[in-house]
Amino acid sequence: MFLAKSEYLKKIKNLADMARELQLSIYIWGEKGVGKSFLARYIAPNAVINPLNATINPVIIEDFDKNPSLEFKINFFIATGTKPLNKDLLKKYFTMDIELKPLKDHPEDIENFIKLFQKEAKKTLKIEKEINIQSPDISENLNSLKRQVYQHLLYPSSKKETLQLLYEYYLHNHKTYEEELKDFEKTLFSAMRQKYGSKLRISEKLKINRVTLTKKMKALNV
Amino acid sequence: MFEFWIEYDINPLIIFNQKGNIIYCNQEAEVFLSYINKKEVFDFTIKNAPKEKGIKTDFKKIQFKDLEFNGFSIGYQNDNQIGIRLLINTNVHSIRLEELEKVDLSMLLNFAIEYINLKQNTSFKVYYDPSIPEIYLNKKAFLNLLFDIFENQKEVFIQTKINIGEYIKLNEQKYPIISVIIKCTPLKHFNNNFFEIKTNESGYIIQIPLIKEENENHNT
Repeated sequence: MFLAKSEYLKKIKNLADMARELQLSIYIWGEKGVGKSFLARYIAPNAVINPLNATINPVIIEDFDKNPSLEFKINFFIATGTKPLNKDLLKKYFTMDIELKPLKDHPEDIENFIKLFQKEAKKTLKIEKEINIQSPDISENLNSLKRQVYQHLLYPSSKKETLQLLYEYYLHNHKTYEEELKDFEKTLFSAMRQKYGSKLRISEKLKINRVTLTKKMKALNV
Repeated sequence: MFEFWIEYDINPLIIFNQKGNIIYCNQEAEVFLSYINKKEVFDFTIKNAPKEKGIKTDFKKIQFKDLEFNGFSIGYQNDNQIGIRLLINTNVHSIRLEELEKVDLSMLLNFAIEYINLKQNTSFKVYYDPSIPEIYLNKKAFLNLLFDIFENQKEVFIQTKINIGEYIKLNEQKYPIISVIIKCTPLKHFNNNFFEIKTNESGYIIQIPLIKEENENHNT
């Protein structure tokens, strides 16, 4: 399945469809996790990946830029890498190159990818749960996004489960009573700060004296 | 007695009178003048004529539309007539038939257009001849040529057609010719081992031998 909501990915999909039909040798490059290998497999679905010997099938070679050489002659082959190749090398082996841009350049697609990963993760993990990702992690593009989706799905769903996790943690290691309490307070105050914003509202909601709260937060560096 | 030799010379010879009317032209010049306006040729002749009576020969590349010559001789003996002999380019351009694969030409062109539009903004207008069959051609060489031509162009018009009555002879085989006419600003001059490329002021014409069968040629 090829997801394409943005104009950019639609263009890529169109090119990929034609490249498959025309059997063109292409070098795909881009940052980590932008979907280079996926695109390669989309163009050449029956390809052998990183083969050691010559084959009659199309071939996909990953990280071609690290070792830009080909031991055998092949007509239809796709390679991936993180950096662009120089012009001579490109002309020697390929018809052309395609740069896959990072997700931050086409953010319209993020939502769809989250949905896709969620569907996939639910199936793999056999979990029926809805998750809501407020701030997508695209530091490593699709890799980090996928990780984030799985993490969210595996998070404990109730306070009880969270405490159970903590319980299991304490069985292995712990700090002093005072330090543990500090950690707890710090976590609580940070969350409240994000949720309510002002100290006045936090003190109201948590039913704690405002001056005490301010003092504690200052001491904990929240 | 020399008229026979002049008549069938491979270099076109044209003789004008004072008013620019043609007094004589040989067979080759007749073909030439069917493409090129005689006024254009006359103006060129006058402009490049020798100062004194006699013949001036110059070896330099000159172009009339897409016809290229290696030089010319212009001469006169009196004020009534002036002659020009154009020296044709006898360098044989050989076209290599290697790594031929069966492809749909319009699909290949569409692919090049999509690819270019990923990198730059060029407006394309296309007019494909639907009667062109799938042909054998070196798609890598063809695409690379198209990418080079389209680079930095703002507006491109592409037309494909089969040249009626024109053939190209390669390795003792006769093939019809497909013309890919690309109208754009001719930014560079291209030489290619796989195709015949003509450059003129309105763009390029790529001529491709129409090879329908793989075994039509033994080198494939």
